[in-house]
Amino acid sequence: MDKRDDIVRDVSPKQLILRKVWTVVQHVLLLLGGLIVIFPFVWMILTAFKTNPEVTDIAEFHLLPQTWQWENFTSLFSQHPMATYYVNSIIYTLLRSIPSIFFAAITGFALAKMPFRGRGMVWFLVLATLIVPFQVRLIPLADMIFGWGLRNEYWGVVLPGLMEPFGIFLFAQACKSIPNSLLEAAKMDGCNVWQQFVYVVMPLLIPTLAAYAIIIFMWSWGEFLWGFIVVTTPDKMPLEVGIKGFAGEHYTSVVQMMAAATVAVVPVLAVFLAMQRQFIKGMTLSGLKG
Amino acid sequence: MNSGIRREEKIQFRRTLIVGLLIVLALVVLTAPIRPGEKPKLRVRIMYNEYQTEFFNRMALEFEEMHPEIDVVIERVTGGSWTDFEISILNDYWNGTPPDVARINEGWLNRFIGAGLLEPAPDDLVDYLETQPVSDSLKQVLYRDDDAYGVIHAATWQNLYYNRDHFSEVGLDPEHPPENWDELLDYAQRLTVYDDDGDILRAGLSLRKSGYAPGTGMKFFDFFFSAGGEIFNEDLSNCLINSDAGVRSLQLYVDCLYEYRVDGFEVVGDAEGFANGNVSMFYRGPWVINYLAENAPDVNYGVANICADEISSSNGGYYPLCVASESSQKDLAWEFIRYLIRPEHLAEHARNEKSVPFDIEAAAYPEFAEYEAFMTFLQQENVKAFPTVPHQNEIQAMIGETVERVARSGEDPTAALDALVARIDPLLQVTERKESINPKLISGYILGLLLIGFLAYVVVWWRRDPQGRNGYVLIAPMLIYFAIFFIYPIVSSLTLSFWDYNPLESANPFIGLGNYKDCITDAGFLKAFKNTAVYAFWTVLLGTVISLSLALVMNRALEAIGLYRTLYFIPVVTSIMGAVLVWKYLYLPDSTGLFNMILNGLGADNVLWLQDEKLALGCLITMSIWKNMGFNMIIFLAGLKAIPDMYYEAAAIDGANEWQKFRFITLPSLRPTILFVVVTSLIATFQVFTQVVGLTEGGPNNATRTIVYHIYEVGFKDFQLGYASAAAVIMLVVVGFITWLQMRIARDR
Repeated sequence: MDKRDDIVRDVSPKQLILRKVWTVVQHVLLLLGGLIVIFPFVWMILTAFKTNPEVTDIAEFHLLPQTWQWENFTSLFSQHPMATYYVNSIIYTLLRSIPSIFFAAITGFALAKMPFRGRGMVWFLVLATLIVPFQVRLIPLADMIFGWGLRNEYWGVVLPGLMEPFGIFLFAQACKSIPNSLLEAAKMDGCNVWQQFVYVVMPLLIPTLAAYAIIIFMWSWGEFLWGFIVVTTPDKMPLEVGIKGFAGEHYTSVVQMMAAATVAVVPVLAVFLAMQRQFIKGMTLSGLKG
Repeated sequence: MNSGIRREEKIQFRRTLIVGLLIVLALVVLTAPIRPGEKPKLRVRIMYNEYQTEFFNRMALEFEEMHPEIDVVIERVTGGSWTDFEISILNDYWNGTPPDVARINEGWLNRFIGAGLLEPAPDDLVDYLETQPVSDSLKQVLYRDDDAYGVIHAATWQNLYYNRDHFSEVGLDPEHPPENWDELLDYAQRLTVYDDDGDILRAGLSLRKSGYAPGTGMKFFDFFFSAGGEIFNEDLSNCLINSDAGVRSLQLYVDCLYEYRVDGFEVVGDAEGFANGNVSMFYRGPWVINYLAENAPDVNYGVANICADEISSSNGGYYPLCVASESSQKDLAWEFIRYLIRPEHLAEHARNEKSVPFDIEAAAYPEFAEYEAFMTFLQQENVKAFPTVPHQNEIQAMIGETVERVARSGEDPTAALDALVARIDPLLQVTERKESINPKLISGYILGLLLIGFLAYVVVWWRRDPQGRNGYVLIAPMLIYFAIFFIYPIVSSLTLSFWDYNPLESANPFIGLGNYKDCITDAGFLKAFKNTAVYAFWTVLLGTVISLSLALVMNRALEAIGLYRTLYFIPVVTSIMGAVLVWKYLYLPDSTGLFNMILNGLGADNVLWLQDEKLALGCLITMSIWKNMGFNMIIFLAGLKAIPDMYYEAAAIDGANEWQKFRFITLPSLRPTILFVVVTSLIATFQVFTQVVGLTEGGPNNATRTIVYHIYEVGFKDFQLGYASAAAVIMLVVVGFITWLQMRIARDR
C-alpha cells in the first residue's frame, strides 16, 4: 500500500476494505495485461515445437504441442545458415561496440574536461548530429560504401557505426560530474592525459560504461535497415537480416518461421532476464537520444 | 590522488584495454575484404530453382577442370521475387562488383544495355545467335547499334492447350483444334458447362485475368499480336495498344466473360484448372507439359499453335546470358557461356527449367522428342518479343493491370486503352541525360573547406594555447570520423537532392528543385507522408496514454513492481525482426492466425488483417504500441518517482480526491516527461521501416508505404538517388521542426 494513503487517518473500515479490493483489482489487471503482452512469445515458442498439420489444420489445433518437436530446430539449423547469422551478428556487435565505447569515452572526456578553443563548436556538432536521423544519411552513405566496393563485406556493415554522437553525449555528461580536483591531483602525481583518463576517469565511468555497453549492444544486435541494404549474401548476413527471409512469400512453413523467431528472440531475452536491472537502466538512458 | 586508485586496478584496466584492442584488431584482419592468395573468380549469377542447383554446380566443376586457372562461383539467389534478382545485380554494379556472367530477364535488358553495363558479344557468338532457330523479333531485342549484348539461353512462348476428352464429349474433332478466333469462340461456347444457377462449372476458354500483372499482359499479347497488332510504332515513340487490334482483343476478353460466359471468376483457371478438368482450353507456356505430366498424367490433351485472327502469333519471353562490361574475366566469361550453350547442356537445362529447347539440335534429344507437344511449340511461327523500350517493366505491368481491371469490371475497352496509352507515351520519351558537375564533388568541396577552416583554427590555437593541445589530440579521431560519416553524408543528401543522380549512369544532370517538385506531385510519396503521419499520430497518442496509465497503476502497486516491469519490458528488448515474424503469424488471414481464431471463437468471420487496405496500417500501429509500451512506461515511472510525496500529502489534507490529485499534481509535474516521451516517440515513429518491410512491404496498394520505405524503394530499387535524397531532406525538415518545437515548449515553461 502506498505510503501517502496512510496519511489520511480517519478511514472507515468500509473504505479500508474497498481500498484492499481495489489493490487486488489493480494487481489482477496488471498481471493480466502483462500476460497479454508476453503472450505472442508464448504462442511463438509453443508453435515452434508443433508439427505442421497441428498449425495449418484448425481441426488439429491444441494449445500445447502434442509432442515437443525438437527436430524443428535441428532442421532449421541444417536447412538455413542460422549458425552463420549468429556468428556474423556477434562479429558485427563486437566490431561496432568496442570502438564505439572507446571513442565515446575519450571524446566525451575531452569535451567535458579538456579546455580547448573551439570546444563549443565540437559540442554543437555532436548535438546537431544527434538530432539527424540515420535515414537522412542513408543514401550518400550507401553511395560511399558501394563506391569503395564494400557491399556484402563485413567492413561495409560496420564502418558507418563506429562512433555514435549519443555515446559521446552520454560520456561527456558523466565526465562533467567528475570533480576537477581529482584530475589535478593526478596531474600533480605526474600522470599525463592518457594516464589520467585510464586510471582516474575510467574507473569512475564504470556505471556509464555498463549502461552504454548495453545500449550499443541492443542497437548493433537489433540493427536492420543498414544491414538489409548492404548485405544480400547469406554468408555475411546478421541474424536480423537473415531471418527476414522467413517473413517473405517463400518461407517454408509457419512452424519453421516460429522456430526462427524463437532462435532470434530467446537468447537476447535470456540475457535480459539475467541482468534486467542494468538493461532497464541502460535503455532508460538511451531514451535521452533525440 | 593517484594513490586513490589501487595498483591492481591499474593493471586490470590496462589489461581490459589491451584485450579489447586485440579483439578489434583480430576481427578487423579476419573480416578484411581483401584476401590475398586467392584464385581469380568467375562469378555466375543465374536465377534457378532446386533442380538447377545441381546442374549449374556440375557445369562449374566441369569448366574448372578445363580451365584450372579460374574458380567458378555459382551465386545462389535466396528468396525474393523475380525483380529482386535484377535489382540485386544492379546494386552489385553500383558497388563495382557485378557478376561476370548473369542471365537477365527481358524486361530489364534496356536498362542494362542503355547504361552501358553489358559487354557486346564476340563475333562467333553473334554468328551463333544468328543461326539460332528463334524468330528475328526475339533476336532483335539483344541488338543495340549493330552490337548484340548476349546469347539467348532460354526462351518461352505460349500455345493453345486443349482437353481432347472434352472435345469428343461435345462432338468436336480432337484432331482439329480451333485455328481462328471464330472457331475459338464457337468451340469455347460448346465446351462450357454451367450448373443450375448458371454459374460456370467448366470454362471453355480460360483467360489469364489476374495474378502477376506483366504475366497477364504477356498472355493478352497472344491475342493482340494475332489480331495483327504492334505494341509500338516504328521508332518506339508511341504506344499503339489502343489500335483496332487492341480494342478487339480486349473486347474478346469482355465478351468471353460477360456475353458468351465461357469463362468467369468463379472457376479455377489456368494450369491448375486444366489439370482438374475445370478448363477446356487455355494459352500457356511449355512448362505446363511437365506440370501436367507430374500432377495430372491422366488428362488427355493436345497442343496447338495460337489461333489466328490476322495471323497466328505468340508473345515470346527470352533469357539472354550476358557478360558485365566491368568484368575482369571477359574472355573466360564468354568461354563459360559457350560451354553452357552446347546442345546437350541446353537440352538438359531446358528440361530442368521447363522452357522450350528452341535449339533444333537440343530439341532432337530424346527427352523432348517423346513429348510431341514440345514440337508443336517449335512450329509456332511469328513469335514476337515485347520491344526493348525504357521503363519496360513498368509498361508491361501497366498493360497487364489494365487488362485485369477491364476483365473484372467489364468496362469499355476503347476508353481504358486510350487512357493507358496516355500514361505510357510520356514514359517512352527518352530525355538525353545532360552532363553536369558531379554533386558529390560539390559535397566534397564543402567538406574540404570546412576541414581546412577547422585545421587552420587548430593550427592557430595550437601555438597560442598549449593548454588546449591535449584536447585537440583526443578529439582528432572523432572529428575525422564525423567529417566522413556524418557531415559529408548530410551535406551530400542536400546536394544530391538538386541532381537527377543515378549511380549507374555516367551523366547526372542538375535539375534544381525538380526532385522536390516530383516529391509533392508523386502520389507514392504523398501517400507515404500521409501514412507516416497517421501512423505517428496514433502510435504516439495511444502509446503514450496506455503507457502512462500503466505507469500510474504500477506506481501504486509497489509490492510486485519488478515483475510487472519485467513483463512489460520484454517486447522492448526482443529483436524487432523476431517480433515481426511472430506478428506476421498472429495476423495470418486464414483461420490459423491467432486474431482470426479469436474472431472465429466470437462467431465472427475471418479478417484479412495485413492484406486489408483499411486495416493494414492499424495492424502496424498495434504492433508498434505493443513493442514500445514498456519503454515509455519506464520513463513515466521514473517521472512519477520524482514527484515529491509531500505534494500529495498536502492535497490529502486539503481533502482532494484521487482525480483532483491526478489533475492538479501528477499531470502538471509530469509535463516535461510527457513532452519528452511524445517528442522522442514522434521522431522514432517517423523512421519506421523494419515492421513495414517485414509485415507488408508497403502494401496492400501502398496502404502501409512510409517515408523511409519510400526512400528505400526509390533509392535502392529505382536508383533515383536525387529523388530519394529530396525525400530524406523533407523528412529531416519534419524531424527538425518537431525538435525545435520541443525546445521551444521546454524553454517556455
